[in-house]
Amino acid sequence: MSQLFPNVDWMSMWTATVETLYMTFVSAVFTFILGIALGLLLFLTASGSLYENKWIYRTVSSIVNVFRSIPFIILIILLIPLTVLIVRTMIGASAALPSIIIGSAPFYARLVEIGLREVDKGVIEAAQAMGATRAQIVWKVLLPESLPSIVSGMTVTLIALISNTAMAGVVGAGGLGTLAYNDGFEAYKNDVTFVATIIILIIVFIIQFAGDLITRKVDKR
Amino acid sequence: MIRFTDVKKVYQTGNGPVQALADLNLEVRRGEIFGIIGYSGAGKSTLIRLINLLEKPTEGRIEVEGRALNTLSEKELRLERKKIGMIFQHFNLLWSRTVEENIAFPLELAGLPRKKRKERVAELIRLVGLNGREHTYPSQLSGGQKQRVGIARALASRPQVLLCDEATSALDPKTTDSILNLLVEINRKLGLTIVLITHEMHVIKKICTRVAVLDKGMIVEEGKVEDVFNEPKQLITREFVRQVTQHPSGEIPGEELINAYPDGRLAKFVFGRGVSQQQVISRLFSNQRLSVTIVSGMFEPEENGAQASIIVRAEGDPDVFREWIGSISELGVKAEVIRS
Repeated sequence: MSQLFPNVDWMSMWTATVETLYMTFVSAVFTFILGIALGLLLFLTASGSLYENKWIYRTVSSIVNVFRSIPFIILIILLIPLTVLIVRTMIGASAALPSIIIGSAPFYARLVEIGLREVDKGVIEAAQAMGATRAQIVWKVLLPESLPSIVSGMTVTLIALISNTAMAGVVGAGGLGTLAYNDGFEAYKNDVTFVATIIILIIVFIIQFAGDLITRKVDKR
Repeated sequence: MIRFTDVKKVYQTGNGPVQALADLNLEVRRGEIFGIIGYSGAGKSTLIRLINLLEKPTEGRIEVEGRALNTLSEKELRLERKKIGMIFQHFNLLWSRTVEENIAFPLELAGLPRKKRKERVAELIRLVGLNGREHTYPSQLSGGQKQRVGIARALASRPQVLLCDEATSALDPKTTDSILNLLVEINRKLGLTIVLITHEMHVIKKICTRVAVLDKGMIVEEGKVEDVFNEPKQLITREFVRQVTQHPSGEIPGEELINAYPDGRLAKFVFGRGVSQQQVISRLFSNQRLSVTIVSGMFEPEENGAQASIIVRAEGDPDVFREWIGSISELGVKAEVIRS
């Protein structure tokens, strides 16, 4: 191993992996919650839907579009004041979380919205005919019936999110991104960059595999 | 039971208002199976949705059991809706739930405890004949089975009315019959009032007590099914009646006949010009050892005489039957034995 990758410090590689996993996990949880909430809000306030409201829909939709369009590396810089306010620092893994979440949640929200739109209108109508309240329709019809889309959308989002953690690494978030850029690229140690890439790929493959497995498990269509 | 008084429904569309139903008056009596027939676009699907207020009337009054639904608050309306079951053309089951969970769905909405839900679901599964399918997902069921789940689900909260929105239109003829039989069975057993909409006259003929014909948002004819069948007044009604009395080719297919008349011998006679109708008819009925009835007959007037096609059912000895067929074909009639 040490002959193949002479410059790799496995201890710091391990620490970086843990940091990346930490960033991924925490931001995934928030992205998931925020994305579903926003996706539901978009779906429910759209015209013809259960809580139709033109102004809320337009406002939320514009915010989502704006944040989805800003390149991530610029988003990090723009969000520095917010980051300092929330985590009181602008370096380290935790400092990267707000920008990663704000960068991923709008993307996921759109995927959730699309998934909810695919729920058969007839099934919603049937629930209404049975006297379901709107809250019951959300919890007992919309969310369970769109579960495969919610899960597969999360898989796609997670993979984009990991690439964001690596990008955040370049501006000092830590993790495999920092290691690959600072220790690898800047110091001409290509083997470090290579190993960091391999580890990121492994994480991505595992997530894709697990996501596909869960999607297939919950999809009874 | 259900009464519409001067109901009007207008949709606001991009191209201005479109009138779906105009000054509609209708009464459905307790315990009957009331059919509404019309072509697509006639407004029948709007009409049935007005009963449980999935669509709101633009004008007029809709009463179910003496309560005017369109004056109720949202909460009261939800309670009333639990007393009105509904089944759909495309079943509208939740694919993420098993048969059992789908049937339990309305009970869950009503907040019934788990144990009570299970008991009720077991009853319903037996009623619609889905024993052994409790844990199956809808995607693994046939169309007929899916509709049975739909029926069980609609009956779960013990409604007084069942609305059927083209409930058999997505099913093949055989399955349609079994679902219609089930509807009649629950109508009798539970005293349930059924309102159904369809574009198929044979559905009306098979199970309805009364029928209304809907055309361009108006009821053009209404009455007891047999009366409407015997004396259709409107052109559109006659078209619908022809759906069941006449088959596309002018003939009833053999297999359907055999199912409709499980016993007795069946034969078909076709004759045209140059054959004396009088002679044929007299030979048909003059055989003392055969009891003969006409199952279906069609006469089409032509310039000299008529093209006729008669299907008869005969009871009697097989040899007599064969002899009789021979005696009729002697007259120049094309005779075909459907079942000997």
